[in-house]
Amino acid sequence: MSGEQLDPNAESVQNALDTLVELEETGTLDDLAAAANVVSLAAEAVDEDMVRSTTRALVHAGELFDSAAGEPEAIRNLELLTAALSDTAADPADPPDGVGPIGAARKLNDPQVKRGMGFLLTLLAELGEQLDTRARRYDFETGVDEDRI
Amino acid sequence: MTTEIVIVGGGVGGTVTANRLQKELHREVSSGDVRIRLVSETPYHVYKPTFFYVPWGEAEPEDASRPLADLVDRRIDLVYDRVTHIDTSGKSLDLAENGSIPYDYLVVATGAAPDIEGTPGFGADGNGHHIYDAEAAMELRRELSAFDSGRLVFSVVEMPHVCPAVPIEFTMLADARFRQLGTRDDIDITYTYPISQLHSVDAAAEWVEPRFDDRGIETYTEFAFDTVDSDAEVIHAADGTELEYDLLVGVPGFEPSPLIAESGLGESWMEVDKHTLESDHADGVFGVGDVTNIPTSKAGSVAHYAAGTVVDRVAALARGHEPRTTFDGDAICFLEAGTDSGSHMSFTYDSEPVIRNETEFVHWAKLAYNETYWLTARGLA
Ligand SMILES: Cc1cc2nc3c(=O)[nH]c(=O)nc-3n(C[C@H](O)[C@H](O)[C@H](O)COP(=O)(O)OP(=O)(O)OC[C@H]3O[C@@H](n4cnc5c(N)ncnc54)[C@H](O)[C@@H]3O)c2cc1C
Repeated sequence: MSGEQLDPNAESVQNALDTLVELEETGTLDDLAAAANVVSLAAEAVDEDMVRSTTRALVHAGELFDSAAGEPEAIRNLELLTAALSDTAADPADPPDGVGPIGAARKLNDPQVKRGMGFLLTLLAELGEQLDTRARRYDFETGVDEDRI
Repeated sequence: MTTEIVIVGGGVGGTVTANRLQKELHREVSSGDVRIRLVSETPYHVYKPTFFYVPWGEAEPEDASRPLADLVDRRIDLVYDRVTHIDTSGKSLDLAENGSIPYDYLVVATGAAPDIEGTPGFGADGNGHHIYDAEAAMELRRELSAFDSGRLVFSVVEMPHVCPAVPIEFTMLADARFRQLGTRDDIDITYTYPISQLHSVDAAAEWVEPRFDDRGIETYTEFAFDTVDSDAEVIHAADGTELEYDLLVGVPGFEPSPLIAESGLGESWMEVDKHTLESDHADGVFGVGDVTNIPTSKAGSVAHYAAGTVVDRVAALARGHEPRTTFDGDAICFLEAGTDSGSHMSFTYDSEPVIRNETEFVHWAKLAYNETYWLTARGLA
C-alpha cells in the first residue's frame, strides 16, 4: 500500500470514511482515544518480569483448579469438612471445654463421633493407597505399575 | 471387556491427547470400561520452546522440563519405557524392558528428533551450534557470552524444520541483543535458507525480507550445505559458494523415530490422512504432532490442535459411534521481532497467513503463553 496513491472514490476508502464519521458522531472515537491512552499507560507500566511472574502465579492457581475440577467427589468432601469446621467452635470467644482421657473415651461412644471416626480411618487408608500409587508414578527407575502390565 | 487406549510419547501431542481423553472419557475410565495408558521413554515432559531462551540466559534448561507425573491425570497409567515395535495386525506394542502391551486404539506422538550427526558441520567433528536440546543450548550460551566480533551465520540446513518461527526469531533476537550490548557494529549476521525464498511460508518470507534489510542482515537463499570445513570455518555450498563464519548456528535435519518405518507406518514420517489423522496403513492407529507427514509446519500448536481431533475421534470409536471431527491443519505461531515486539501467523491447510506489524502486546502474549503452556499440557485451553 505504501507509495501508492489512495483513490478517494474507491469503495473501500468510502466505507472506511463512513465508519470514521459514524464513530465520530456517536462519540465512540473519543472513547477509543481514551482507551488507547489506557493501553499505552499499561504498556509503560508493565515489564516482562511482571508478565512472566503474574502469568506464572495464575498458572499455579489454574493447575490447582484443574485438579479440583477433575475431582468432584473431593470437592464434595471438602465442602463436608468446611461445613464441619464452621460448626466446630463457631464462637471464637467461647472455645469448647477441655476433655481428659476419660471424657475422650466416653465421647468415642457417641454415634456421631463414631461416624466421624469411620470417615477419618477410611481417609487414612485411602491416603496410604494414594501414597503408594504416587510413589510408583514418581519412581523413574522402574516406572511401571507391575500389577497392571 | 476393557477398551485399551495407548498413547506413545509424552511430549506436547501425547500429553495433551492423554489428558483430554481422560476428561472426555472420565465416566468410562471410572467404570473400568476404558483404560488409558501413556508410554514415554522418559519420565519427564520437555517443553522445547524454552530452549530458545537458554542461549540468551533468559531461561534455564530445568525450566523446560517437568515430571510427567505432575502433568498427567492420575487416572491415566504411566509407563516409562521405550516402544521398540508396533504390531499393527496383533494390536500390541513391544517395550524395551517390560514385555508387550495390547491396544484397541493407539495414538503415536513420538515427535521428530534432530539428526545432528547427519548434518554437515554440526556433528562431533563440526563446530556448528543449535538449540534442539538442553546441553546444546547451554553450549551456545557459553559461545555467545564470549562472542563480540566476527560473523554469525544462522543456517537452516535441512527441511522440514521443527517450529517454523525459530530461524527468523533467532536471527532477529541476535541482532537486537548485539545492539543492546553495543557489539552489533563488530558483528556481521548472515542468514541462509535452502529454498529460493527466506522462509517456506510465503507470508513469513515477505514479512521478514524488509525487516532483515532494515537490520543489515545479509541473506543467502537456495543455499544448500555440501560440506563444512570446521577447522577453516568455511561452509561449502552445493553451487560452489563459500561462506566463512566465526560462529555457526543452525537448524539441523530432523527425522522420525525408526519405530515408524520398522512398524510399517510410513517410509519415513508416519503416513496419515491429513483430516482424520488415521494411519494409512493400520486400523485404530492415529498420529499426532511432529511425527506425522501432514502438509503443514512441525509446531507445538499443530500437535495441540491435532490432539483435539484425535481425542474426539478415539472417544467416539471407544463409545461405538462414528467419528465426525476432522482436522483442517490449524496452526498458530508467534514471530518475535527482537527483544520487545512480536507478531504472529495463523494458517490452515487451505488458508495462507496474514502477518501484521509487530507490537509489544503480542510479545507479551508470547511470554505469557510460554507460562500458560503448562495448563495446555494438562488438557486445558
Ligand atoms: C527450540 C525450539 C523452539 C520451538 N518453538 C516453538 C514455538 O514457539 N511454537 C510452536 O508451536 N512450536 C515450537 N517448537 C516445536 C514444538 O516443540 C514441537 O512441534 C512439539 O514439541 C511437537 O510435539 P510432539 O508431541 O509431536 O513431539 P515431542 O514434543 O518431541 O514429544 C515426543 C515424545 O515422544 C517420546 N518418544 C519418542 N520415541 C519414543 C518411543 N519409541 N517410545 C516412547 N517414547 C518415545 C520422546 O521422548 C518425546 O518425549 C519448538 C521446538 C524447538 C526445538
